[in-house]
Amino acid sequence: MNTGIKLQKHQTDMKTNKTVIDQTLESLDGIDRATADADLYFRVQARLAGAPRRPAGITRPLYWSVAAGLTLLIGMNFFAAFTHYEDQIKSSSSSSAMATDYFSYLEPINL
Amino acid sequence: MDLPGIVIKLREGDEQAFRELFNQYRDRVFNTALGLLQQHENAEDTTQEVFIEIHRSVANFRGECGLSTWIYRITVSKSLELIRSGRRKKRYATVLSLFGYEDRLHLAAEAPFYHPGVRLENKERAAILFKAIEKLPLNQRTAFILHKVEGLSHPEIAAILSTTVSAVESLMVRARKNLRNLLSDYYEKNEK
Repeated sequence: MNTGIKLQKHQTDMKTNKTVIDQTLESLDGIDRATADADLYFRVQARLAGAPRRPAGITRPLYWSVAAGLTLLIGMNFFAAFTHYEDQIKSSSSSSAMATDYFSYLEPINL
Repeated sequence: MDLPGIVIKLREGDEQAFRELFNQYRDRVFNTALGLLQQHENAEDTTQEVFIEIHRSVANFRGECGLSTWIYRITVSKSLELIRSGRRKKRYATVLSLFGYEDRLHLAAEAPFYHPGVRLENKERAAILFKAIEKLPLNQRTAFILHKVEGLSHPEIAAILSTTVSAVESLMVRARKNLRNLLSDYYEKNEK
């Protein structure tokens, strides 16, 4: 009995939901066309005449120039770091070779 | 002045012809953009962009499709461009919000949209429907808006989207099915 009432309530809910959904789907029926502002034409004219479109922001060419500049800078940094590292290796290996030659007569100190 | 006449005059740079074209299509462009974008300022911006594009590229218009189809195509393409860029910004705002910055874009997107042409008794339901439309895939959303908000027929929509009438019909069926599911979820959550 209780289950029967529950099922009936569920069916009623489903029906109500379906009606609401249908009503919502139909809510755009008979919609009127929205109208644009009357001064829109003058704004288009102003933009066609070359007036600034929007407040100054990041433009596409500027964006790409900055990106290219940054990439170049990072590349140069890598190049500089790498050449510096190579120089360091060369100098350290030559100085260690010289040290080995120069102190080769010394005996290892045993404490 | 008839439409082919307007196009010829436009190519000659006739300002009067441009104004006439603007007056003929202004509301259609604005209404389509408003339906797709669901935001008044963005729809106005897009309307401006569309007419600037028409002014710039009318010389390339060869009449392979109707002038009206061409104008709707530009409108849809500009509106979808803005929707895609809005989605990118939304993703960026979500990332920012993870780092503790305020998610203003997201909050703005949450506001309900009331189309000015909807009958007063349908206002609230239409706002719920527009929220659901926002979640549709872009092709379904475009077909649905062009049909329901702009009142275009399936063949007209097919011409605008450069597809077949049966493809548009299929888009409409899928859009309605998805909207039904989205609305069902919405009402289930909000009735409890």
